[in-house]
Amino acid sequence: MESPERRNRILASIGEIPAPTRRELARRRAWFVIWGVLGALTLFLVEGGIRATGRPPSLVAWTSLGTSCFVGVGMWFLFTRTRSGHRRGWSVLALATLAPAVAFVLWRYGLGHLYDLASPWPTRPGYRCFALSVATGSIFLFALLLAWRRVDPMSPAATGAAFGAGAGLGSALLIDLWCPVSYLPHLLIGHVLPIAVLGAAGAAVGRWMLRTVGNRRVK
Amino acid sequence: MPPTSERPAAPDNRVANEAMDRYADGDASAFPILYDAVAPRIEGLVRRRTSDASRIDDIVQQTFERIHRARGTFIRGSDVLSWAFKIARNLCVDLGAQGWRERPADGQDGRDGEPGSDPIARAVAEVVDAERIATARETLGRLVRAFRALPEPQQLALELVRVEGFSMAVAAENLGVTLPSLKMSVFRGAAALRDAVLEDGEAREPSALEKERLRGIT
Repeated sequence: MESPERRNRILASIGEIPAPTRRELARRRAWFVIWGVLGALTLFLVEGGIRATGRPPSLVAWTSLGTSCFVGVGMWFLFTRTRSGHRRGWSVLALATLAPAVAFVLWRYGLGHLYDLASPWPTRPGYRCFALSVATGSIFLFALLLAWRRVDPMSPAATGAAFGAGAGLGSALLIDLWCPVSYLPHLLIGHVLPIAVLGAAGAAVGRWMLRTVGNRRVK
Repeated sequence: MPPTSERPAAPDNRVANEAMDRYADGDASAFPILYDAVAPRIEGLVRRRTSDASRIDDIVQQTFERIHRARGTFIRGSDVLSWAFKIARNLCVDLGAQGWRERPADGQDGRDGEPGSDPIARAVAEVVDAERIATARETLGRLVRAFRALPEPQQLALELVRVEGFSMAVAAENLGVTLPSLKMSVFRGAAALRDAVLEDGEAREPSALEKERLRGIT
């Protein structure tokens, strides 16, 4: 079964391949995540930062509090792995993305109704929110992909999708502080669609950016 | 691989997990220990999918290279064997080494139940005693054919839980399915195998001893 020749070959080849240790990887991740968050926050602030725009402060506080809770739960499932070290399955990732997004829309729309601020707003279809969500989320997503590049040997596409959806949820939290509109089509286009777009982008880019590659290939 | 007289016990991965923990922290001397603990199990998994020696060699090597590259992501206290199996299984899919589904299910690729050259028969042989293989070749052939006819999720679930001895929870995480789904796959797969083995051409009721042994397989 087990050949000494192969054992020696593998032990020798391993020595030639650079691979970050746990501590090196943690440091790399911390740097990229910090830069990603700072980059997204900078863009958000450049675009105006927190804007009440006619909303009562209590509404802003309540919507942000609820959104933070939904996003936090979703991100926990998206960013953590199971006890065996595996990325969660696609169905769990999809649920961890959809559930907070639906909860966010219901929360935001419901509170908007409560404050009588959910009336149609045809001049704000949500394209600006969409653009800003995708832009801020992309910065964070790119930082995550760089931090985890070439170290996922099992499910790079799922990891990329999880990162994308997580970045989308994070940007939804930011944009929630920026946008006063609670009109349902606006929420769907400007706040929820970017989560799906970033999740898909994360899966596509993560598939090749996160995967580990071996040195040898079968001829 | 000679057949053993007992089913493999649930794997004691403590040595491998400790070695992987140390290796993830940068202790290069832990890698040979990790290799010795994990390589035979990975090779067994790959051999069940292909008999091409160079491909087996390549997949084992690439599995370890990927473990090495991703060592920094290994979560302290998690199960390295489950990790390694998933990597190896993905590589088998990528490199087209899925022999057990490519082979015909009607026993045309060799003598039914002959464990010598057939990776699935060898896998089954690992969990039954040698004496029984000699006396129940026909039964083994039915078992092998039934296993090949199972849907892939049931094959993978049975492989991890019944052959490799993983717990249901770890196997579910490994396959990326929910625990109830995994349990259902194992139950259905085992039931299908049991039915296939008990389906006797002469409608003979298996003896109590045979039933006991069959329970050990399925």
